Amino acid sequence: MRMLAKLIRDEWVKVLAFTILMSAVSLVQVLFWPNIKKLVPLVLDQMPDFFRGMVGGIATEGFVFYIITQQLIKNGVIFGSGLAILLGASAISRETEAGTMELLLSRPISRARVLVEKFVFNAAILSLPVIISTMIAWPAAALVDEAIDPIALLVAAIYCYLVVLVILAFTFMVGVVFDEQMKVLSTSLALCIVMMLLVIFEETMYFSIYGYIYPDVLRPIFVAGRVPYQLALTMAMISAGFVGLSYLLFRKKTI
Amino acid sequence: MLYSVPGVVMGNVEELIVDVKGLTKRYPGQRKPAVDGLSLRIRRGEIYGFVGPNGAGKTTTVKMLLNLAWPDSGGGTLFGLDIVRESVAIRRRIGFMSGEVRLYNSMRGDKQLRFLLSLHGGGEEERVRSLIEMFDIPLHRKVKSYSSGQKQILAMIAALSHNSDLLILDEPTKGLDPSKKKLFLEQVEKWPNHGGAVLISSHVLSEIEHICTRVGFIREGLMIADEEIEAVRSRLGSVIVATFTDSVEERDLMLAGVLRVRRRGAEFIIETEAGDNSRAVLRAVTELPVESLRYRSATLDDIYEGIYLNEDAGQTDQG
Repeated sequence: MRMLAKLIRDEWVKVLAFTILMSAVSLVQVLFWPNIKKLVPLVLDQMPDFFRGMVGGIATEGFVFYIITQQLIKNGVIFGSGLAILLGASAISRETEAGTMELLLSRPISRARVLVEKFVFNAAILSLPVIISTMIAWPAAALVDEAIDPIALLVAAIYCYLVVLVILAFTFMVGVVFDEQMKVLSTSLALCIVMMLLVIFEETMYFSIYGYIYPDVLRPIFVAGRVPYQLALTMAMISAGFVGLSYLLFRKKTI
Repeated sequence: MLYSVPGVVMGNVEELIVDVKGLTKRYPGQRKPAVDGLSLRIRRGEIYGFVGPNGAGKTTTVKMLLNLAWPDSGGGTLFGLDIVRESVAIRRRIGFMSGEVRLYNSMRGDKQLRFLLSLHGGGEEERVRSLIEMFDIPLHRKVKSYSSGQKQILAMIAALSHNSDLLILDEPTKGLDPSKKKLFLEQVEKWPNHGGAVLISSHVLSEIEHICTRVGFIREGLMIADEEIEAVRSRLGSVIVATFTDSVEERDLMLAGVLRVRRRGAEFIIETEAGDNSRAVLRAVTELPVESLRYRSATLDDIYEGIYLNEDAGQTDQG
């Protein structure tokens, strides 16, 4: 618990800033819905093919599709990934770089415990901004005379969080390999940029983690109330795999 | 290997707190191992001085004892527990202070101390209080505002705050002012009284010699000497520092009873063997064309210097 208290003390500013920022953007997006609704049919024809599918979906399926595309892609791809990278990079490498990892591991505490606690606590605090900022769309929808199923929104938010968790776990593992935070940040950021590029093209889309928070995957959650158990489990297992690899790398690391 | 059998850690085996053999560690990209086949035994009640110049392998050895670095080969036990497989149980019984004290800068001193003690299951309150009083540390301030000496003191209080069976202190006096250094060494000296042992590493033997019961000398990863401090002291002779008006060679001074002659500028440093040789050597030196002459008892630092000089000479010869 002391470790959690310390983590909260270290990261609360980052997490609070992201929660406020992401929630504010979510709110603004919801409030913009009446304008978007009017604007979409006018601009649809001028859209490049890649965006036409998404914008066309907004035109035909309305508010719920708009929330899916704007909220979850934004929370997952842009802000969620950013926060996951920041948290993952500071989890291990900041302590190694600052020399405080030696301080921790010279006490009666196992490497496995340090690693698991750090990952679990970081994963827990990552969930707050991703889920809160998504759920804000539910009460905010009333402001624009729309409605959205809160359970479906929560399921989608949790699923989106599991995707972002993979990025946290990957960055966490990179943090075990490199001692310098900047190296960890740039490696994970580079990977995220590559994945963002992959998602643009239909052929490579599902090679990217972001391909799994695309409307085609998220729509069934809202439309048919279908929980994507299989995909969610896959994401959780990929994260667990990265944490397992982190342990193997960390076990013999000279501190 | 009786001590590695679970449950058989009582009796005389328990007396052996540290028992490691052939520890070797090579860092990637380094030609020579940082520690090369090092063996070390420390018994209950001992204060073991682990001495060597910077980069000799002291810190790497300490890291291997604490499982902060995995040995490439070799291994052993602390309190009869395997240093790799049972490191958490080992660290529960160890108070450790690193030479490069790194603390959480954003924490206040008191919170930092509480955090470190909590990882050890809490310290002994009365002892913590008395150490805080003794070392007069501003606990209400953030650690980032501390001087390096104050950080050292905070880490030291954390290390001394629980009844550990082994204190491992890696260059602990670096950065401490003389009065705090004295206070600290007094605390360390008392440590074996409650049945523990101490491993204290330093590159300045004179700082720790008066509290050590045994001393090991390490150089380039190799343990080159490991002796009872009294045995080392019993070999102490005298040192004559002389300059001469006429030309005198080092070989002219290699008289009977002389252990070693070194030259430092115009001065000759003549170390004599222990016993009654000193007076005879002094008499013989005064028969030479002396310009100035100083005479003193040898210290452990002279022995220490001698050990490393001999090694250097040996290496030069080989090289």
